[in-house]
Amino acid sequence: MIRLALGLEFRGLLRSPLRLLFLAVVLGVGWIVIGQGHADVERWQAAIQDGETAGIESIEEARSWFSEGVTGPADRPWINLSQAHYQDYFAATRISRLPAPLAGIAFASAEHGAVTMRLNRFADPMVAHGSEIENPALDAAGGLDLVTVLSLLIPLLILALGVELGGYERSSGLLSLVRVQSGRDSAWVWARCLAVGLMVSIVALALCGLAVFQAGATLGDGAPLFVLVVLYVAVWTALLALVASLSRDPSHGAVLLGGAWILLCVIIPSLGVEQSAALAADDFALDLTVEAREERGAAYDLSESDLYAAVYERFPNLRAVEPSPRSSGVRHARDGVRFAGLEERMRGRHNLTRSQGDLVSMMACASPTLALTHALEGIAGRGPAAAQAFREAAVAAIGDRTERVIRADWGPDSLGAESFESLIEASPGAVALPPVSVQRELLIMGGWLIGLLALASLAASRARRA
Amino acid sequence: MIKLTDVVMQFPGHLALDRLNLSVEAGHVYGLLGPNGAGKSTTINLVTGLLKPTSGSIQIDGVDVVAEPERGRGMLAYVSESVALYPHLTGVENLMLFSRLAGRKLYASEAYECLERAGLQGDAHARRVDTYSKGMRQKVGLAIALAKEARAVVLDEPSSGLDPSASHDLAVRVRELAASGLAVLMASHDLFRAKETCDTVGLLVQGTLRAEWAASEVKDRDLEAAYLEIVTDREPAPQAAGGK
Amino acid sequence: MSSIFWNEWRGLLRDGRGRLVFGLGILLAALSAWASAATFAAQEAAQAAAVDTARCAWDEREGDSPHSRAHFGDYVFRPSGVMSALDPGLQAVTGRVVFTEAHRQNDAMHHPQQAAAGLLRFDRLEPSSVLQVLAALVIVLAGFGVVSAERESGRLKLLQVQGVKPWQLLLGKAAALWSVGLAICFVVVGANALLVEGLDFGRVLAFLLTHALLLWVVAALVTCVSAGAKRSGTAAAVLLSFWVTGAIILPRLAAMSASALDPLPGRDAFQAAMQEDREKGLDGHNPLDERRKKLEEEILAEYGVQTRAELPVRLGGLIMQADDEYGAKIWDKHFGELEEHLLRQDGFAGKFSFVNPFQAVDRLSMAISGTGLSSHLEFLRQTEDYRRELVRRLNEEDAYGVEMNAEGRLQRTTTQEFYLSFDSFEYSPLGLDELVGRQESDLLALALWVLGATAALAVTSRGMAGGVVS
Repeated sequence: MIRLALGLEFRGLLRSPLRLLFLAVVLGVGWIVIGQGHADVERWQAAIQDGETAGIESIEEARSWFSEGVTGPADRPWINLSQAHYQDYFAATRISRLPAPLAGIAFASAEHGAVTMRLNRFADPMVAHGSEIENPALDAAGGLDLVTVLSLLIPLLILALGVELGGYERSSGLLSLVRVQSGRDSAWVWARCLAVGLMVSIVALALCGLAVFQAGATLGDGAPLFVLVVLYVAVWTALLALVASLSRDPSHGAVLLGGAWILLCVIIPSLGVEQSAALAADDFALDLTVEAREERGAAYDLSESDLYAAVYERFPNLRAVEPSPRSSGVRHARDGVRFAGLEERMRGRHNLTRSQGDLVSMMACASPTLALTHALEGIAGRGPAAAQAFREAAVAAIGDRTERVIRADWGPDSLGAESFESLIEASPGAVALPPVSVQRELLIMGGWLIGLLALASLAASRARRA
Repeated sequence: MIKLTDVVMQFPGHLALDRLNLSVEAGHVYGLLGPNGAGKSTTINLVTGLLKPTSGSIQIDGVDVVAEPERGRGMLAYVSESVALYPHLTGVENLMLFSRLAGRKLYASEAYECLERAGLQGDAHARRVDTYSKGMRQKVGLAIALAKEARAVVLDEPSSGLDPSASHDLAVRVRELAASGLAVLMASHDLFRAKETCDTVGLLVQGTLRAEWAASEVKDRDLEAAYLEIVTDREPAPQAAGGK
Repeated sequence: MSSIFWNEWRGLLRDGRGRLVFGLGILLAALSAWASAATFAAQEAAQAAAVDTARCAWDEREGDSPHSRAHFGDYVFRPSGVMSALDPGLQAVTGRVVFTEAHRQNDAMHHPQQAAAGLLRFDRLEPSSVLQVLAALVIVLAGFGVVSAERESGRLKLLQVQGVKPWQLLLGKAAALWSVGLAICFVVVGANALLVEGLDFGRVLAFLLTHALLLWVVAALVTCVSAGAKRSGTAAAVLLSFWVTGAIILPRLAAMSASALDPLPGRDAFQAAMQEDREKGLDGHNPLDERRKKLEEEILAEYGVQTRAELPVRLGGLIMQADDEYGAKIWDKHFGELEEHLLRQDGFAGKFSFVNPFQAVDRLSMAISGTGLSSHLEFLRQTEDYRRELVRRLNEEDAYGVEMNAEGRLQRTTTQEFYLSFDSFEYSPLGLDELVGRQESDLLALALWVLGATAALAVTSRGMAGGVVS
C-alpha cells in the first residue's frame, strides 16, 4: 500500500505546478541559505585569523626588541618589557571560539557573542561584542538560514503536499470505494500520509546532506542533524495523519493543518518571546556596568593586607610567592581582586539568565518547532549555551594570565624573553567547544510523535465507527 | 448471487431497515427504488460491508459478508453515485490504482481493455480524470468493477446527473454486466430507467420492502401509479400484473 | 450592501469555526496589549532606577580630578519610549547600555534577551505583530470562503438573480472582513490606551491608520481570491500561502538579501580603519607625539609663556580636549560611513515593501512608534553628543579649573558642586513627521497596495458581472 501511495503522491507532485513551485522554492531557498551559511563561517574564521594576525604583530614587535637586547622602543621610552604590565600588554594572544563543524546551518542566530578576544588581564568577556557589526533592522526580521528552512518551510511543504489527504477522500466518497476495494480505508489514508512524509524527508535530508558536504563536516558530525530532522518530519507527518483522520473536506483539512502550523510555528514561539521580553524587562545590566565599576574602584580602598589576602584566596598557588615590594606589586594585586570580581559577575550573570534558559526549555516542550530550533542551534555551536561556554573558557584564560602576571611581577628575577614567551605559550588560542547533547530535544519530539500517532489512531477509529 | 435475509439496521433513534429480505440471482439486475430516506443507501452500505447490520444475514454467493468480510469484499464490486476518482490521475491510472488496492495487479493492456468494455472511448484513457464528464467517470467506475472480476456489483444511483444518452449507455453496460453472469443490485430514483434496465424492481419505503415487480410484466404507467400509491400511503390500488 | 455586511457578521458569529477564530484573535489582542503594557511599565521603572543608580554613583564619588572623572564616565540607559508598548521594534536586538567616557566611543551593549536567542528568531506577541500578522490571519481564515462558498453552494447565482450587483457583493464582503480586523485593532489600541499612560494621540492615530490600511488590503485581496477560486479549499491554500510568504518568509528573505548583497564591515576591520586614521592625528597620551608638541607650542605662544610651568592653565586638559576633538572627527567620518551603510542596507530591504504590504506596515509602525532604525541611530547620535559635552566640560575644568598658589604652582579649584551640576542623559525622540518622512518608500508602497487591492476588487467585480467569474 505504501508503494501505491508513494506512486500516487509522486505523480500528484509532478502534475501540480503549484506544488512543484513550492518544492522548488524550498529547495532553492535551502540551497541559497546553505551557501550563505558557508560564507558566514568563512567570515568567522577570517575574523579569528585577523585577530591572530594583529596579535602576532604586537608579539613580533616585542620579540624584535628582545632580540636587539632592549626592553622597548626608543620613541616610546615608557614601554619597558622587563615589567609584567608591558609583557602582558604585548603578549597580545587571542582566545577564539572555533566554529562548530555545522556552524553555517544557524548563521541567522540571534546570538551575537564574541568569537575572538584579545587576552590580557583587563579583558572582560562579559561585555565583549561579536566580530560582526549587525544591522538591527535586519536582525529584527528574524533571519533566514537552514534552521529556519527546516523548522518553518519543511512543515509547510508537508502541508502543501498533504493538505487534501483524508478530506478529499471523505468528501468525494472515494473512501468508500477504497474500503470496498481494499478492506481498509484509514490504512490507505495513513499510507498516503507516510508517502508524503517520506518524500519530504528526502528533501530535508538532501538539504542537510548538502549542508554537511558544504561544511566539510563528517557524517558523524551530521548524524544528530539527520536524526533530528527525520524525527521532526515524522512529527509533522503524524500531525498530517491526525488531520487526515479528522478532516471532513479539503477546506477543513487546510484550516486544521494551517491552524496547527500557525499555533506551533507562530503563536507558541511568540508567546515565548513575549515572556522572554517580560523576564528581561528590568535587566539593565547594572551588575556588569555601574556595580562592576564600583567593584573595580573598591580594590583601591582595600588595605595592603586585605588586598593580598583576597589575592591568595582566589589564587592559592600564589601563596608560595611573596608580594613584590615594588609599587607594581600592589597594582597587580588589584588586578587579581578585579579578576575575582569578574568571575563573580560571570557566575551572577549566568544565574540571572538561567530563567531565560529555563523559559526556552519549557517552550521547547510546547512546540516541536522550538525544540528543533534549539537543538539545531546547539549542534551549530551557536546560541546562549555556546556563548556562555566561551565566556567561561575566556574567563579561565584571563584568570590564568592574571596569575602568571602577578607571579612574574612578584618574583625576584627581572623579566625577559623567557617569561614573555611563557605567557604566549600558556594562551589557549582557539577553543573548540564541546558538542552539545540533543537528547532532551529528541525526547520531546519523540513524545510529540507518540502523542500525535495515538491521537491519529483514536481519530481514525472514531471515524471508522462513525 | 446477493441475498439479504431478515436484515435489520437500527441507528440510535431510527430504524433504518426492518427485516429486509431481498435476493438477486446471478445474471439478474435488481433495481431498488424508494423515496429519500427509504433505506436504499443503508442497504447498499450493508451489502458493500461499509456497515454492519444489527441482525440478519447478507450473503454473496453463499459467503456471509459479516462473518467473512474479506472474502465477501473480494467477490463484490461497487460503483458510487459520485464516482470519486483521483483527479490528477488518468482513467487508466485510476483503474490500475484501485485494482491494486483490491489486490489485483492490472497490466496496462488489461486496463485499456476494461475501459473499452466499460464504454470509455480510447482517446480518453490517458487523459486526466479532472477533464472527464460525469458519464465518463461513471464508465471508469464500471471498469473498476469489471477489473475486479467480482461475482456481484452494487451501483448507487448510477444514472443520477446523467443526460438521457449517457443514461441509456449506462443501462446497456449494466445489462452487459448481468449478461456476463454477475448479480447486479442497483439503487435508483429513476423509475423508468430502472424498469428498462432491471429484471426485478423492488420498492423500499421506510426500511421495508413494500413491493416487488418483474419489470417485464408491468407497464410504466401502472408501475408509476403503484409506486405513488405505496409511497404516499393511499388506498392500495389493485395489484399491477406481475407484482407481489 | 449593508445587508451583505451584516450577514457576514451573522455568519461569522453563528459558525463555530468563525467564533473560534475571531474569539482567539480578540483574546490574543487583549493578551498582547496587557503583556506589552506590563513589560513596558517594568522596563520604564527599571530604566529610571538604573539612571538613578548611575547618577548616585557619579554624585557620590569624591576627590578625583576631572580627567579621572572623564575616565570614570557615565552610563546611558536607553529609554523605551511610550509607543514601544504598541511596537517595541528593534529593542530586543539593540543594546540597552552605552558607556560614555573620554577618548573612546563605545557600542551599545547588553541584549538581555540574548540568553533566549533561539526564541528571538520568532516575532514577539506585541500589539503591532498581533495586528500585522494575527489579525490578517483572522481575516484570511474567516474570509477564504466568503465568495467561493457562495459559488459552491449555488447561492451566488441566487444573489445575482435577486439583483445584488457584483460590486455590492464584493464590497460588502470586503468591508465585513475589514471590520473584523478593525475590531481586533480597536481592542489592541484601546487596551493600550487604558493601560499605558502618556500615549501620544497623534502617533496612536497614525499607528491605527497604518494598520487599518493593511487590514483593508488583506480584506480586499481575500475577497478577490475567494471570488476567483473554483473551490474554497483552493482559496484557503492560496491565501494561507500569501500570508505565510508575506508575514513570515519575505521579511527574512529581504533581510538576508540586504545583508548578503551589501555586507557590513567586520568589527575588527572597522576598528582598524578608525585606528589607522587616529594614528594620523594628535595622540594626547604620547608626550613624544609631534602633533602634540606642536599644539603645546601653540598654546604656550597663545599665553605668551615659554614653559608649561608658566601657563595659568593645565596644559593636559587642553591637550586632552584636542585629542578628543580629533577622535570625534574620526568617529564622525567612520560612523557616518557606517550609518550610511546601515541605511543603505535598510533601504534595500525596504524595497521588498513593494511586493509585501506586511513589511511596509511593519517599517512604518516602527517609525511611528519611534523604535525603528532611524530612532536607534538618533539615540546613538544623541548619546555621542552627550558624551562629547560631558568630556568637553570635564576637559575644560581640567584645563581652567585651576589657580596659581603661593608657591607658583597650579592647584585645582574643582568643587563637588561642579560634578553635581552634570545631568543624566535625556533622549529627545524624533518628531513623527520627521520619522514618517524618512519612510517615503514604505508610504508609497502602502499607498500602491491600497490602490491595487481596491482596483483588484473593482476588476474582479467587473469580471463577475461579465460572467468571467461565475
